Amino acid sequence: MTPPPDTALVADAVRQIVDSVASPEVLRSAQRAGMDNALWAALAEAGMTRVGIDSSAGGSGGSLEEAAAVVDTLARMACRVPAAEHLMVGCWALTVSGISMPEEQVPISVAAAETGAVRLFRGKLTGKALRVPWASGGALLVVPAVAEHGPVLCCVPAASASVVEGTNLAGEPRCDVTFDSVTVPADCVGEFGPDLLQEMRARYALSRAVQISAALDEVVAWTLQHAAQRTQFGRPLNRFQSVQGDIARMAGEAAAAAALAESAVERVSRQPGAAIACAAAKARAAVAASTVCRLSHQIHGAIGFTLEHRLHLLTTRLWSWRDEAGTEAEWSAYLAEKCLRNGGADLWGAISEVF
Amino acid sequence: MRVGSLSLASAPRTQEAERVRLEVREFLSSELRNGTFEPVPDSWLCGVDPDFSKRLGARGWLGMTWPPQYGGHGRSTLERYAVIEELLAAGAPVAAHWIADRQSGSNILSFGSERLKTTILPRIAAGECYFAIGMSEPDAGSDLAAIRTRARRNADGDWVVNGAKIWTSNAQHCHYAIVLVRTADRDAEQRHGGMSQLVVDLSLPGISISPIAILDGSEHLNEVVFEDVIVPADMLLGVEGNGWHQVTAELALERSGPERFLSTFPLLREFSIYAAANPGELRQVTLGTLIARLLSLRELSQRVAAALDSGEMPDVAAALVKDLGTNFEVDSVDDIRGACGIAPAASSDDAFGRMLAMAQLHAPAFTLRGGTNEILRSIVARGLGMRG
Repeated sequence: MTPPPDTALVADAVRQIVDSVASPEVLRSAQRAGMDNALWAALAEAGMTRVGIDSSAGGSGGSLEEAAAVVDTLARMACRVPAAEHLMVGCWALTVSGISMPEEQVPISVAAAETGAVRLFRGKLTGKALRVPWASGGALLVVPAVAEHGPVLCCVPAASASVVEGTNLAGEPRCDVTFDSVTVPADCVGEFGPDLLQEMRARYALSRAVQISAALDEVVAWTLQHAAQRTQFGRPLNRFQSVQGDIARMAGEAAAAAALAESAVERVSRQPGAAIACAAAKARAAVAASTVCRLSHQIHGAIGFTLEHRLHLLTTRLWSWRDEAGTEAEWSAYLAEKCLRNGGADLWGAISEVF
Repeated sequence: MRVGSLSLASAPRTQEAERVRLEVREFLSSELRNGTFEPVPDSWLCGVDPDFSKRLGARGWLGMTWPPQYGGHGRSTLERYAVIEELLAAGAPVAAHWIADRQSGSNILSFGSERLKTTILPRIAAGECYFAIGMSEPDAGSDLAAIRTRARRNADGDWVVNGAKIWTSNAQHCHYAIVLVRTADRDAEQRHGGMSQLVVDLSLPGISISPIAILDGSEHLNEVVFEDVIVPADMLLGVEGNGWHQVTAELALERSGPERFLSTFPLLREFSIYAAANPGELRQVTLGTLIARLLSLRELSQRVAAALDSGEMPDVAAALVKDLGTNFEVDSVDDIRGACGIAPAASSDDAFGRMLAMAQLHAPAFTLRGGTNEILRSIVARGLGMRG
């Protein structure tokens, strides 16, 4: 029996690391593009970049729940590190495809291009992946590709490709990456069938759902604080019934997103191939993000849409994350397709098996 | 759920619950094969079928969580949850016993005298005894503390009840109502004091029940008038003056169940069959979006059930789930209508058109009954520390 995951302990440890490395001013400048290398190094030093990876594969042990707790904490603090891609997708992909984990504690990000957009021919990688997160500096990329004999996963340094840097609305690096006959050593290529590719996409979506639900929870807390402090017409905003109703709605959306993200993490942790649970989590989280961002900005008023106020650190991320790793329309369509069995008549049976 | 008091642990999946779920499914497919019912939306309020209720009682699926000495079956809340979820998803006619099984019985178990427990609970568990809710009044809707129905003791110590209750679901089919009454005059200082709950036999002299037709012409709502109704002293539920506290506990049960997001599920299933036969991107995305919302509600609602099981009082979370769930129900009618060209009509040849008509005409009630969404949000706001 493995012990139950102690996610609260992990979250506390991560919070302490962030506080020790990054001053509040640094966190507030999170809008600036680029990775926070000092924070990544501190997380690596503490073993946090190997959480959820079996010790036999060079990890720190622990469960996916604990890896998600790391991702959750870094997301709510708007940290500029690729923990979601690395812990929930990249390291997993290396493990299941039999590629050994790098010795160095470099971040491993995901270049999930359309199937067939990247090809491996005679050990050389060619093709293009768009909007690849954190594909700059010393990162490694896991790249699903089609080789002569079938689908594979390659692990290559971002530096070996030609990278056109870009950012999402929050200033996080999202780069267009072109592989032009990049040589991939044989020990950096592993078998990666369609099931694994689907699971990778689902995990990628789940990692965003975890980030979104964490950020939503934090935005609700910030909005509660603001509504308690800001006074208009001689009373705090939180004494106005319409404001109370809006914040209650925000809390409901955040709770719905969090419940699905948590349950999907548990489901994936228990048993692989739970793409449908991840799809539901991402689709629901994206919808919640839209509502919560809109209402939080409304309640914060004009100060909330300035760069000097912290709110944008999370709302710009929420606006970006809801689109990344598949929009709610894409994952909803997937969900419907998987639930439409027996001519649509067994909808309840399908729904009751998701978790 | 992590914000303050809304934090709830995830619900365990138990083998016992999954086993009884399959038993209910088997039972329902045999009932459907025998043509004993047609699946409809809102079946937990409109599907009155005492024979069906008795068959459920015979299978041990009513009063499931109560102790065996009162006719119950000592099962877990999560097993009961699986049973009621299956019944709702199938649109089965569960309205006769629904209130008795969901809240009145539990209320009697918590607060009732030994005599009430031994005489009434076994009959509820057998599917033979039905209850109505006596809370709302013509001048007391959301503001429940404004009720005026009055009970005074007579010379024998019995209660004499005068007043009127309204929006009472299925009172014409029920044997009893648990009626919230004033047993002391209103006190502006203590708005929630002076109220008590009485278990009232609806066949007593002085009670008149008048149906109120709703938009589709059905008459499951009623006005119940009490004129010098003599209720025996020992029908007081719990402690005199403690009515508000008891009602609050009852409402947590009333608000958190899967009927707060599954009322329109039979319609969603028809839509799913339609979308399979008439594929299109809009239909697929609409269906998937509704499925994702439903899944999130199911996770939340099961967490509330698990919390109730471990003796917590998740009234804030229950309010939050009901707000989200009933909005989902109303949205599902709008979204399904928008994604296919089916005309809603009660006279329609196909089940989809009939269900769409029924769901649309019932939809205004979803976000009102059992506490309006405005009241629910004010409960959530208080839970988040926004009200003194």
